[in-house]
Amino acid sequence: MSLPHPDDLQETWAFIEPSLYKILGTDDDSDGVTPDEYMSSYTAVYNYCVSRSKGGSTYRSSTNSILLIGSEIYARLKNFLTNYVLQLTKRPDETFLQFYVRRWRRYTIGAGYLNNVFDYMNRYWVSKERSDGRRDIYDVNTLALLTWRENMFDINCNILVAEILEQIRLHRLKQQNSPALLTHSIKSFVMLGIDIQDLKKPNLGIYIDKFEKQYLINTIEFYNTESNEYLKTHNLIDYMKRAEHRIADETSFATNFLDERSRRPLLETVCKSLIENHAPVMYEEFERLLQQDQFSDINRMYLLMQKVQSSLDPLARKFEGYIKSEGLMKIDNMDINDDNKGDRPVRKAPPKVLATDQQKKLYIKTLIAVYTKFVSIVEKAFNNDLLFVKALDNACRGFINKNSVASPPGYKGTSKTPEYLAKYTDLLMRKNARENDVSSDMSEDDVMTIFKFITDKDAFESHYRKLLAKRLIYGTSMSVDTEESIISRLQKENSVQYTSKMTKMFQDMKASTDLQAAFAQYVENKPNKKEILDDFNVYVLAETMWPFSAFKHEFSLPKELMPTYDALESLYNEKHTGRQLKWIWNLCRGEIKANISKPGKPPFILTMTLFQMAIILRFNEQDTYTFAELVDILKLPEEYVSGNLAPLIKYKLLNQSPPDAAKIGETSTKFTVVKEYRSKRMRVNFASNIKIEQKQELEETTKEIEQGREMFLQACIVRIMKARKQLKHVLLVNEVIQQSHTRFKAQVSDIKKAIENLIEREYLRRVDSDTYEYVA
Amino acid sequence: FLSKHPDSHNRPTSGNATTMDNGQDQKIVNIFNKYKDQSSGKIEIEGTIQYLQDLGIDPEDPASLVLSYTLGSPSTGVFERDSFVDTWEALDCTDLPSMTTFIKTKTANLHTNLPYLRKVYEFTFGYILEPHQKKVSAEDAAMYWQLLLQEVFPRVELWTEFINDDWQKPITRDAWNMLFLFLQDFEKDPKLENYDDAASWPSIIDSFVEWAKENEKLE
Repeated sequence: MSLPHPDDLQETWAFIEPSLYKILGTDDDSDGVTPDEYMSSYTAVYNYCVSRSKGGSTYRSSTNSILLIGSEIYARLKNFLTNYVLQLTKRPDETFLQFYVRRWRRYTIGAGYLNNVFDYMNRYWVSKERSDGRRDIYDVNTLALLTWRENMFDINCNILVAEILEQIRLHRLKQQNSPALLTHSIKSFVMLGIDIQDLKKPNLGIYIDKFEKQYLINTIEFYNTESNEYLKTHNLIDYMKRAEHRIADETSFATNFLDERSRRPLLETVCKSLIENHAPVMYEEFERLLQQDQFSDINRMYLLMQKVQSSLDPLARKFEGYIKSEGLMKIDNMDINDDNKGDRPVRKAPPKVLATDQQKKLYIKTLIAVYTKFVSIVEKAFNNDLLFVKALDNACRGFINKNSVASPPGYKGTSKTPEYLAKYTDLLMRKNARENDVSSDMSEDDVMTIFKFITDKDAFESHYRKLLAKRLIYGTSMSVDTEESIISRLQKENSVQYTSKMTKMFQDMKASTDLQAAFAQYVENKPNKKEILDDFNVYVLAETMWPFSAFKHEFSLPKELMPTYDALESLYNEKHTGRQLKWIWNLCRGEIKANISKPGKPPFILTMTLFQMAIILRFNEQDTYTFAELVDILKLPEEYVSGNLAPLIKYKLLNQSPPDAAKIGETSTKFTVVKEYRSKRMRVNFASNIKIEQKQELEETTKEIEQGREMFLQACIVRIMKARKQLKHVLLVNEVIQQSHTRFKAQVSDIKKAIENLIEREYLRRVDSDTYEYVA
Repeated sequence: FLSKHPDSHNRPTSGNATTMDNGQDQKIVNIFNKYKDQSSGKIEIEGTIQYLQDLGIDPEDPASLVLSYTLGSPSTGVFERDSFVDTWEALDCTDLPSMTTFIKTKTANLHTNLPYLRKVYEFTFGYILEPHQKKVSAEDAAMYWQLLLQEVFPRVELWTEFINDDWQKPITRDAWNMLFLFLQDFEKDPKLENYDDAASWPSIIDSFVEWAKENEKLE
């Protein structure tokens, strides 16, 4: 086979055309190109381009630039390709898609070879033309693809897409289909996306416009129909399982068949259709699943909904609402009569005040139980998703602070939860008698759990400090280490400021121990040493830190205690001149050894309040006193005398005449000491449960909290205004709320009152009706 | 009402009552001297009553407050020489008829000139304040609200009902001043629907609105 004349286009083209045809594939693909044909085609093209470029007219006189040969043969090639593609025909026994893929695969392989045949032209003429700015000239491979696009793809796009989508439908229905058809046909959309400005830039325009859009619409329709149909005949749990599988199917389909970019829109579409569209049904079912503790199904629901972030929020809100109502219900149904768990009718409303320690404990335990239950659900079913952690926190804050016990209908004060929690902590921290060990199932962690949710942190501090103070001065605390551990946890959870008073209380206790040692030594050298109590504990407490105030009424200390009293006063004044000791008589307690046992038995040890001691000591002198006489001796207000007498009578140390309990405080009522005291125990405590004290304490604490808040708000406003000079009302109010939220939830009305108070005291003035100014 | 605070104010006088000859209009000085109290050198309650009578002003009329405001009266029924003479001189009122005309004109305009009414109103608080007090009794306040504001703001009637029946506590200056703005702002809101108790209104006004709504007074 002889090569054509290099300078003859006609001859050269005639020489190579049959080979080109074979390279691209003849109709039945029977006649492939031979290596010889391939090589000589390459040579012929090479010769043509080279010889003509050399042959005389390499230089153009006018432009003085190299003339490269190619345009004529390029034009012929382009024409050839167009005709080639147009003559391709579908066989009667194949679908269009089969035909398209069959030819496309062959054509693209051929185009690669064709590109090599025209390698020389590509390298010189084409790149020269493109670098000169010609955007309608392409390398041969691209020219082949563009020709395909124009003459095959564009014309048949609709049927092509329709047949692809049908294949996908079959694939989804798991019916027979040919994955290869999908792979190649979908890939052709990507390959045909040629950017004629920049051939190297990947361009998915065609893929997206012609295929993906339609595909996604098709997907929505498919899954909308399928999921609706499925739900008609199956329950939600089955549906969720199916949705899981569907999403997995589609994910793997995307990986295997689609361009990477489609993965996200596809999954979004599928999830929207399978999850978001059916979210209302799932929300409905959610509550039932919670009621039945179906955690794995809830987790399944969560994992599904997590795929559509916007559908998760309502689920979290539902969860929050469920916890809250469960919490409220548990409290409403709290069985406070824990002694008989019979089949009594369920109590509708619990009593407004929890009276016993057991009830208060039960209340806190109930709160903790609800919290603990849902913490574990958040972990097991929601993988500790922050959204659900937050929902749990919100719900707990809701039902813990406000419920039928903390704020019974008609009750307007601050929540009672802080008070009960403080009591709970007290039970935990107190030394307990063995047989009544209530604290065995209580823990510091419980306290901290509920503390975290309490809005009125200041109220807890007040109640807690009050009980702590008692534990400290009565020595009823189980261990100092535990006390300190709780305080450091409270401090960590809130602030140093929050626990500063409690910390100072411990310092006072320490200083008091030192004082007691100093006192013991001081007494050694006193001439009247024998008259001074040798087992005497005194605590000197900084007035502002401790929740006690000096005893406001007159009281005549029994003469037996005067030497001790005088010695302490003089020692203290020696040590600290200028300080004033105020006595809190109502908190003083002591033990009295009473020789009123049966003959031959050891004496009783009676624990009494100082007031009771003052009463009982006088019975050393005579056996009977009238109420009026006792009041005269003690110099106390009558209700203190009667209040302290009551336990002495109740536990039969004194006999009252007339015995009518209501007559205890009448002037002429007589009290006579028993000759022989009867009790199984050698130690008897008369000091607890003095009614008058308890009532007063609660009132004081409430008042203290209110005053504390008032002070806090005023200080807070002054601090803010000092820094800002001028501030709008709303901004000031917001800032105050912001700054007080770790202590309590400030009410706008209270903030307004504090502002008015400061205006009156000329710390602030109004600049206009809506703006305040700090008055320096 | 002028007899309520008999000679209870011992503030230093701003002028020296014995030297008259400091360029002040003699006619006005003569009028002042006619009413002044010989021992204090100021016009006191008795002189004021006479002065009002000669001007033809009823002490129970807002005009008497306009007069006190105009002359910068330090407290109820008291006028000091310098502000008396200087003010009338500046206003070019040198005899009783021109003084009467001035005060009556101003008083007649009170109802239409709200900024002026507000000034007289805010002045009144200090004017009726008892010595060494920061608040005005509810009773006194109610009397002056009716005297000064009733006609302009009919809501004052309900307000004083609230003060008398429910509030019954002394009134601060802030509450006094803010009341005027409240009456003005909510003049056209008969049911107080737009009232926001979180806004900067003093709590006495919050209480009023709550009381009025609870007792269905806003029809």
